[in-house]
Amino acid sequence: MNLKNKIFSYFYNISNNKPDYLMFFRVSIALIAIFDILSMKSDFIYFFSKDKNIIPQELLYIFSEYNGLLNPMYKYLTNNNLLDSFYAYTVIIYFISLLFLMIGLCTKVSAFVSIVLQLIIFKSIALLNFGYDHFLTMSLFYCLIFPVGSVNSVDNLIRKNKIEIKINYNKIIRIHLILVYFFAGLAKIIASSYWNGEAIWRSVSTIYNDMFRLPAIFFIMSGIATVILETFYPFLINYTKTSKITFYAIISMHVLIGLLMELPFFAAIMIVWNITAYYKYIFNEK
Amino acid sequence: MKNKLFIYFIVVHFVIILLLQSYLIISIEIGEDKRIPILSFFKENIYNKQPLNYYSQFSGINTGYGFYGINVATNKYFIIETYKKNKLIKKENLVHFKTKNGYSRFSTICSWIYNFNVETKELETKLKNKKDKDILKNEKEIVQVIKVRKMYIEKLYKYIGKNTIKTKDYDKYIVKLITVVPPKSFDEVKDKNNVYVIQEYEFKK
Repeated sequence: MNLKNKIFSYFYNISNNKPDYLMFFRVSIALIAIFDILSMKSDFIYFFSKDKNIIPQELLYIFSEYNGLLNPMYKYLTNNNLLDSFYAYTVIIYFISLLFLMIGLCTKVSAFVSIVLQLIIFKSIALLNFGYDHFLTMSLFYCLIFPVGSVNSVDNLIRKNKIEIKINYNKIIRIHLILVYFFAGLAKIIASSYWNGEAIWRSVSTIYNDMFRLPAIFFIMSGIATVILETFYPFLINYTKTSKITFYAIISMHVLIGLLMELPFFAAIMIVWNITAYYKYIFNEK
Repeated sequence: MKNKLFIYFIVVHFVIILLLQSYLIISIEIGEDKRIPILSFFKENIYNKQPLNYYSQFSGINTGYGFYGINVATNKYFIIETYKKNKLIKKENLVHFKTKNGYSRFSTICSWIYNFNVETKELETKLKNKKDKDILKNEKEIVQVIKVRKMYIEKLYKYIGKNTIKTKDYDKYIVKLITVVPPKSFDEVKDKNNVYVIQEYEFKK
């Protein structure tokens, strides 16, 4: 079998099982984005508003790669007295589009609107971005290009002809995860600080906690385990005998990241990606 | 036919991610100034140009996965000290956020400012060494860029301090960026974390 046929046969769905992972991905991503906004609702005005910002809006994106797109947009809004309406309605419309995405109503349109508004809102505060924001953009992008609205959705209730799923979309997430963990692992494997525990110490120690009191063995073993798990993830997850345990180890790693580094939304989004990719390990599907 | 086209699109999507990540990881290791065969050409002449640049921004793939990789940084914080007639009145953290997520979100600016300062210092070093041909060609512009970058950081500190201070009875305030100091070895007996001031600015009311 040549390479082209191998690639096609890898992605094509032969079993024709109902791909519930599409619904799981759609609902989970929308919920994470909704909770993220709601959990900082009363403070968001300090980042994204006309005149209540801690730091003026333009200073938050001027040195980002999105400045070329955002600057003309804000100039247009200012010159046409639309800034008040923009700030009043953008987050509300983003919230509504996420709700529509969650229930699977006009799924493609709501996914598109969600990405556009997520980029406008969060790239307007580019200085306050972290890895989670990029993963949310990627997740919403996958909600746009995958038929996530074809399973257990309002669209499905309205639609007369059901969409036949012929591609294993969760295998796309699997490949993306392999790339994420492999390159994350490579970056760590060449850093000596992961082998002597210093990297973990730096990541978890703050002026607010007593994590620095933990025994050295915790930092050293955590660092080594992270490096091995991530760098060898492509092999461990694809080898039958280690696949399931690797899946649970990665989930545990993200739970710990969420708890110790206080990054619950980042942990949640990575756990959703992993469960979507290996839905069978949680829901006993093929 | 539609499914076949989708598979072709996904293959291209992953090839872009693979090339970008390979470029980022190698350039961090050998230095961003060094040229990498094929990957540097891809980054400068294909990835950085439209429409691929718009696609990467829209799809979210314009990020490295090496965060918390090489050179893991310590957590950083702002401390704002308010003075009246050179006497310390109050010492406080960032703006008084009502939500934990709001505080966490805003705190990411501390690391951003630190990394921005590191880049500014690298530019200053290159200017001083007078070895980089591109730097020497545009020396006057680079001097202006460094000046603007420093003014920008000072402005950020000023806004952060001004919007944190609640009291009205003060005549100056100092905004400090601090970090925790990692131990030289885990054998050190510690009662509390040592903190270190990375940068500070003083402002009059």
